[in-house]
Amino acid sequence: MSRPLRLSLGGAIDRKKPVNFQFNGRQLCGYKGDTLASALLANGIHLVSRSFKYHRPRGIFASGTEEPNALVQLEVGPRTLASHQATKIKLYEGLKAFSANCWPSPAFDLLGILGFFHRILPAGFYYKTFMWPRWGWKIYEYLIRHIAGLGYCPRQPDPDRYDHMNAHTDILIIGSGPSGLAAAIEASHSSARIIIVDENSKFGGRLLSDNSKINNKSGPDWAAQQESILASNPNVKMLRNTTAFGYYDHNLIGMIENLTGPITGVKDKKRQRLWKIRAKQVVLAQGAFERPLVFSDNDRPGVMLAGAIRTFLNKYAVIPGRRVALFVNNDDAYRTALDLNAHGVEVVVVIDLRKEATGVLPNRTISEGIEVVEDAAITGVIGKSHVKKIEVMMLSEDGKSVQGEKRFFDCDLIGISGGWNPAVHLHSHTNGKTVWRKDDGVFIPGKTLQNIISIGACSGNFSLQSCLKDGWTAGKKVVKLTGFSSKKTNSPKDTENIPEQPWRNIWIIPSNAPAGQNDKHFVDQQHDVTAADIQLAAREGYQSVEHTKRYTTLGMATDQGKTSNIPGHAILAEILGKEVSAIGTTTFRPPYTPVTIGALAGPYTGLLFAPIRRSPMHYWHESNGAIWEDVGEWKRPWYYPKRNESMRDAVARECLATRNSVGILDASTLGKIDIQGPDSAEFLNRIYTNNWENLEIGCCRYGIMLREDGMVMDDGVTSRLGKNHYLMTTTTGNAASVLAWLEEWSQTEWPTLKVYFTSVTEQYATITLSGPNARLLLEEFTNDIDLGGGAFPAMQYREGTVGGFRARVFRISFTGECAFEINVQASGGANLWANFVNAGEKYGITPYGTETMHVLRAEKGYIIVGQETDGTVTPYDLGMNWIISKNKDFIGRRSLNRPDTARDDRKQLVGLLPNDKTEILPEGGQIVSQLQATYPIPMIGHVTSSYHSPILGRSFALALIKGGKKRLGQTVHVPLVERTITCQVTSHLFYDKEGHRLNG
Amino acid sequence: MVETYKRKTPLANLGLEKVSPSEQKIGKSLLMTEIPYIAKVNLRGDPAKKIFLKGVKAALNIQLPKIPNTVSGKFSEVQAIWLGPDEWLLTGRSGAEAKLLKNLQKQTENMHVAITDITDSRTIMQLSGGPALSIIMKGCTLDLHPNVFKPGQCAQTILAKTNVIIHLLKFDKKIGPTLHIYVQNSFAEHLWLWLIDAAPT
Repeated sequence: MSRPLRLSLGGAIDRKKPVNFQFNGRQLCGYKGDTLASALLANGIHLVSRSFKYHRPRGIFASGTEEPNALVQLEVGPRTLASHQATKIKLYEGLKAFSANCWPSPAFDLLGILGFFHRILPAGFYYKTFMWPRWGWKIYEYLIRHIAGLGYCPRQPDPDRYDHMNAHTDILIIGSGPSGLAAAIEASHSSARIIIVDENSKFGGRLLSDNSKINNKSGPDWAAQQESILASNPNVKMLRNTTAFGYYDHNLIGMIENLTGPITGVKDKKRQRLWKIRAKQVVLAQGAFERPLVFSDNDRPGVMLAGAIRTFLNKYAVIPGRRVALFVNNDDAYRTALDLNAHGVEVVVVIDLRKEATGVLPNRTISEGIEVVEDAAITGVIGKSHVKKIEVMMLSEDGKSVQGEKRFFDCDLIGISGGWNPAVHLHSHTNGKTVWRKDDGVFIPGKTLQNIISIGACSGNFSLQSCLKDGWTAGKKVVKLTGFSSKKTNSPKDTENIPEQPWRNIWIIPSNAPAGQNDKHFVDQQHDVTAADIQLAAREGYQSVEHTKRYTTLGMATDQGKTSNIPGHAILAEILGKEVSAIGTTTFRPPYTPVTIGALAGPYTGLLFAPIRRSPMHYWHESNGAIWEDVGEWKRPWYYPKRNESMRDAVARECLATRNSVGILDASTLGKIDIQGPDSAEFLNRIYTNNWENLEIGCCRYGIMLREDGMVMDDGVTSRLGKNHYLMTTTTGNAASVLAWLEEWSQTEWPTLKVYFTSVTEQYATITLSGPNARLLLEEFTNDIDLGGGAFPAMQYREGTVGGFRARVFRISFTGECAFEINVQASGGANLWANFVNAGEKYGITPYGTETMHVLRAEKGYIIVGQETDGTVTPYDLGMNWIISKNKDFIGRRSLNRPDTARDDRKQLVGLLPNDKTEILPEGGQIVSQLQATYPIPMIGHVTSSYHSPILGRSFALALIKGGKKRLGQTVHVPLVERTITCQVTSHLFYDKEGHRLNG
Repeated sequence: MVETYKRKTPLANLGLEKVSPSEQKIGKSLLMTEIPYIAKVNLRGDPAKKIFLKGVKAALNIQLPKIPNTVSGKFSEVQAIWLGPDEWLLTGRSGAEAKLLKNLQKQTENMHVAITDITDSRTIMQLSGGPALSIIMKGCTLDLHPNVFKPGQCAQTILAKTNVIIHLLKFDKKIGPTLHIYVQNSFAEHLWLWLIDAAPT
């Protein structure tokens, strides 16, 4: 056995804590502190998955969020996660991961055969290739959808719990690399509130990957020192394992914090927390992503970003290859050669695109005996499932082709570097512009309207020295901008400053044949987009990056093109003969990394999904078998079925009990607004359509309020409690909006009227007793209210004691029966209700729900706002001419005179009686006056309410029909899918037309 | 006043009265209790009128707070919570609502005011302990940091999709904050369950 792949010293792993895990069923071992990727590499595994379209073998390419290839299906069962990057998964005991997109294994994948058909799968192939026969697309689509895709979703509900958190801060620093840390340290000398976040569990960013020194301390040591300084400061909040995924207006930043290491569920722990952080100033220090080179077969397992090699080596103490070739266009990548050499790993060759490599780092590399080939390129990679050998040729003068003899180098790892791209994502989310810096060909942050300072590598300042300097400066600046002051602090710290030579950008590395002819030059590895695809798109007329992106799917994968966007856009620009700055870059949108839906939902699932409003009698209803109806946020009893009773039977029983004896209803949910002030009557006059000046104390009146456009907005009964004191009731659903409506008119239009409003909906439990025995029952509960019909007629109100509670009793009926609405303090509702039910047993008292209430009121032709009205219905349409005063002004009055609202062929409220008494019309059913063979048949209206009436022994309905008042007695039809129901148009008053029952 | 056995708090179904307050600790350091039946009166009137302020002072023996989002008085006696430029929520001991109403009506006779008993419309949840404010921050977008939200301040806001009034009574260096959440009856159980879910275990 040759030397192990794990270094015996160094790195941020804990060698005392081995961690067992499974990959594709193989039992493997890593250490605490590993990612799945580093642990796989330490076990000699490079081949992790197959690609999206061609099913080509793919390995670990990067070391962080930019990883396009190493996607796994993590865990099985309800917690399984699709397309997760092995580079982002922290290793935990018992982890189970599986290769994405291959069967039966990544080494032998049956669909690998697709690679041979690449000629019929060019960019936009689904628009071109599968077009014949026309009907065939449905089959092709099914197959393509089956073959494509990189994982599967769990079919069970998510068993994990998630958390939400809001936070406010003066300064938010995103990224804890050298620049972020420096900014935080500097800003922490003030009393400003600071939050600093990093997606990793340790602060330090690139300092943990590179072999650098600050103040004679190693990068990781310096970072740890700063971290502990910050941790001891109570003004600083540090969020680790937290990714800022979106930057929204007003400096609101969305973040996801991972709370558990394993995803397999930790008892009593929530898995993730969604942070919504509102900051005064934001410092973006997100760093940069290394840019790949686009060369022939650059997707083979064993091809890795040069910086990622350093991360694996220095942070995880893993040797990702034994014989390494580097292919670079800049000086920075030579650090990889030097670090590898220092650890005794053989660096076979460094291929440099530049005509000469004369910088400090290349010279150091050469002096260590490593061969550097200048002005050359890799033109081929040998080894399908792992790199075995590279083919190298010299570049022509213009760098567009290759020449000379082929040279071959044996190697098992190719480190590539095309320079670095600032991570401008969050800046871009704010609609911030990016500016093309021509010198090295990078987009750097430009103007933004939010309070952002971008520093360090994400602003295009790549050297460690400039990162630190940026950090100190920004730290000082944000303290000032947020209105704080800081103590005088030390100037920037010492670090080695190594000058670097310019990069050489060659966007498509030439090989023997044009790109795409034999081998593939991959740009977007996750979506299998090649340089040839972009060229094809350009030839087919695509000029905009946004269009090219959608056509080729460049940058549309889960990695959002973190490594592929810039090379892709540069290639497009080159083909179009334009500057990159002229074609621009696509817009980055949130999320920066995928966000779990569960985290967005947070605690608002199951019982907490939305508030459930419960009336004071809620649990009586529940224990007596109520079936609930959701009315707004309220749960109202819909009906109370007895054992095995159907809804229809239960409702019929409740209806008849109420009509024949006494029913009891929980009406606590109705809106109640207390109105006080000397101008209350005048105010009501303006709000309601009828007259309120003459309502006497102790009396109640029904009112309808209109919007400015004359349409019915709400209705209810208002009672006069005292000289300047009224109580308004509203429908359950409109309680809050009516109060807001009253306040709006009072505050903005009629501020001179002296009137105050107070919501008392929740103060009272409202119990309605309805039916011929209601009075007899209530008499048992009060001795200070005379309930006799003469002393207490309908539409009046009395105060007194009911069942030991102070009560307001109203003779308001929504059933047409003699009814009493009793308001008592909410805490007494349950007690009084239970007593009514017990005492009412001798009358067969029956609790009834909203369905029975609806049937009973419809039999009497009473409307329900929102059922008979839909925002386009006037009181005239409802046949309520009597409620509209001609002698005063009110909201909506002028609109009632508009020609359209005054038409006599508007939809008007009528009753419908189906010819077949057992047929119940569907609500919403469209009504026609004549049946005809050809469609469409002109529709004249619709059914608004429809029920079976137990007391009438037949079905009936309410409807809005064009010119309905003139159609009384006519026959109309409601055509349904399988049958047509024929009905007669009637008055909408069906029961007790004389109103005798109301007085009991 | 009605005997307590006839009354039910909006959280009655949770059976909280069966556990002693000390056992109602959620996690390590949070104490959460319901304080039902505290007298509550909604008061509206014009603070520009001195006679009104004088009358209220005479009725309650405390001044109405003029600074927005502040509270005057003592919870154990009488307290006035600022709700708007012309609106306050007055609280008093359990059962004191009738007396409060009577005194106020007497002292503001013939003035344009609205004095409304809303004792039973809301219940109070008392949270005390270190994590109390951070739990609320899980469902509330206001800045409740101790630098910003100080004892004696109140806020009307949305907590876990529910309309609430939050009043910070005190901030003890050892125990942490003690605060009251005034929540409408019908939302109380939802909010309580949400708080239990949000509390760290």
